[in-house]
Amino acid sequence: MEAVIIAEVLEKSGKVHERCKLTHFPVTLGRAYDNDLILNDPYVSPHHAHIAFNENGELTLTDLGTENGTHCFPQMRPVSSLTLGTDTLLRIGQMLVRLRRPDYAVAPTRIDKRVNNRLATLFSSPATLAILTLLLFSLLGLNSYQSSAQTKTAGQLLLENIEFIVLVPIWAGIWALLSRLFMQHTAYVSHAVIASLGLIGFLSANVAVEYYAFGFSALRSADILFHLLLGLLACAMLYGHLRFTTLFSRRRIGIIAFISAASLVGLSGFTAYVQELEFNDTLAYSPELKPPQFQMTPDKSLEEFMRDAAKISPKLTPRN
Amino acid sequence: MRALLVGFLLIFALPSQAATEDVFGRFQDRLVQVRILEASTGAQTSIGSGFFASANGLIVTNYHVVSDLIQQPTHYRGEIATTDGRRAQLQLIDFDAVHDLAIVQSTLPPRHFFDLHPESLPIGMRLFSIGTPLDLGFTIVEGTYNGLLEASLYEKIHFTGSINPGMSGGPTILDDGNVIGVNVATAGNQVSFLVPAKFAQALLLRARDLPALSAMAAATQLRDQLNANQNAYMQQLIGTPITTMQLGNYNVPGRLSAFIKCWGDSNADPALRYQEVVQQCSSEDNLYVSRTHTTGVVHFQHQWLAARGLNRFQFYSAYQEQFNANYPGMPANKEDVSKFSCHTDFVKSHGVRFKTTLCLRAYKRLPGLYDAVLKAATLNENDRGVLTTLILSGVSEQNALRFSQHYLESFRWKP
Repeated sequence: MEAVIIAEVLEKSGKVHERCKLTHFPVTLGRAYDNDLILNDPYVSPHHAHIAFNENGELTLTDLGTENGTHCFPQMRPVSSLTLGTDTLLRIGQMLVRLRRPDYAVAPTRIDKRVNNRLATLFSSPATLAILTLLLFSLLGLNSYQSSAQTKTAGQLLLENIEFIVLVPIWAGIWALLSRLFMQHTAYVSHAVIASLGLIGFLSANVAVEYYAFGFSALRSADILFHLLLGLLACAMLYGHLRFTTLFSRRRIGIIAFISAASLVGLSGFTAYVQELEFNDTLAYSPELKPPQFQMTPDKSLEEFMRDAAKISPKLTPRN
Repeated sequence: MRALLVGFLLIFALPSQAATEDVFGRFQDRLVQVRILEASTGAQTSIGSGFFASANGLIVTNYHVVSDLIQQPTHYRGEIATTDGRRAQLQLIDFDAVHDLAIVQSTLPPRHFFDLHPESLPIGMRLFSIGTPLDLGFTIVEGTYNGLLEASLYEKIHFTGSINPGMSGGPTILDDGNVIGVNVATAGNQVSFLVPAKFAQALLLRARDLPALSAMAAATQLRDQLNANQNAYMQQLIGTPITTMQLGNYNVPGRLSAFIKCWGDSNADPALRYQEVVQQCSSEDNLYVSRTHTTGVVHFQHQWLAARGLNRFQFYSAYQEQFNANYPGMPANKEDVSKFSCHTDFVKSHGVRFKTTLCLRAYKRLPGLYDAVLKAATLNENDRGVLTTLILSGVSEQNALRFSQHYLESFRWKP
């Protein structure tokens, strides 16, 4: 009778340590070298068990009356004789041995999101990088142009932003090096795309917060908003970079990125707080001036303004 | 002819020289040097001058010479030294911080004392200023009376003669020994200032029978004097309608009072694509509180900016940069004042829209007094506007708020 059993010796973690195909029965298992399947474990008896057909023609494992016995795992039910099904897990000595028939149904194929990820494809495309670089240059140029009260050529505008333009390739290069070290691929384009997106995000956050500070005459809340946006940006960038640098799960990368960004924001917030405690003679006000169309709160009368301003002096305790 | 001229010069020069020597000789026993010493080591930390002004030994000097004794009474002590080398501990009797005068007394009996002459003199009158410049010993300087300083918050005599550090508190006298004023300050190049004798006389009258002033009482008195002083000139400013001047298409506060001087300038840098006109006005005179702290200034400035081919974003970027520029300093350290706290909002008054910020900081040692900085930027147009800054140093909160309102109310805009 044609019968096949696949015997797998497992590690404690469940990984297969050793696998062999058993086709000719009876088969003997044990520590001694005259066995068909040699189990290298001091708790296994020299001749521990054998697998053979019973009178009904079924493959059966029989313990040979050993000291430590054979147990079904994980229930640890002792076994003297056991008919083998499609999937049997046994503890022999201190070893885990799995016996499976070829008709064992394996789990469906898992989808590799790394391979079949349209976002990852987009991030790795040089065309994306080219478009983002163009966008970044335009934003930097526009920003310089709009904040300049002097006539400037395109070259001067570009030169003003040279540090940003240089920063992106250097930053991407460092991450690419890390990718090369840990993943054997550089993913330079992906890192450069992330860096460009990060810088675009930073510039946008900066402008957005300035307009917010002007529109709402905000000082502290604008500060907090800016720090939160920076934290969010740092978290997103770190997540992206790590996705191309490690094989960690998304969840794990997310946690790492979040904690890093949160500590960064926390540290800068703490530094700002400590500086606030120090004496200085600067005026703590929001100096932003934007075109009047961006004013978001209604005009007050002078009387109302002075009534509100009267709330300043109680804050000036003699101690501070 | 030339010989004759030389002869004339000699004739005129000789009696003058004789008079100067004579003046010094006659009056030197009425002078003292005021020394401030570090209390534990007795090391000299600063010096000034002073003079006997009464039979019972009251000495007139400057408040700023002895202010250490009020600010840090445990850290410093004072002594006087006479021209003949006698020394004695001094005690503070009274002071007038606004006019920078103090009365001290020691156990040394005066051999003679000066009389005060509170009347004004004809301009050009010869005066003699006496003191101990730079600790070089008693010195006499000859100069001329040039009348009272016009347009000053604190009345002073303009004296043409070299008053140097260390001469503060010494007398400036006529050749008959009558004190015209008390040496107080110099603007360099023989431009010096005296406190008129009438203020010293008033203080002497008040101090005649007073006991020594305790440090605690001195601190309260200092606050009361500064408070009364700011109240007087702030009430005057608040009660007077503001005369405006034209700046671009705006009317802005002009010379608020006789004691405020204004200066103007414009920026014609061809590389800049906006025009800028600046007006600065200041009371210029400040009050000495301590080594680290001066107060009492009223200062304001306006900047009119008009774009030349800038779009609204570019104009407002330049506008913001100017708005952000620092305010003129008001010297004080962290023992003197708190940090600034500000209130910012949009305000509309008489058709002028502003972004307005008012910042206050409190005087720690002089409760009830504040430094105030008002900053406002007009928001009526996309390509023109006025930035204004008002600084009030050492005023009450109420005066700061009321005058800030008075100030902003006077702005007008012509589209």
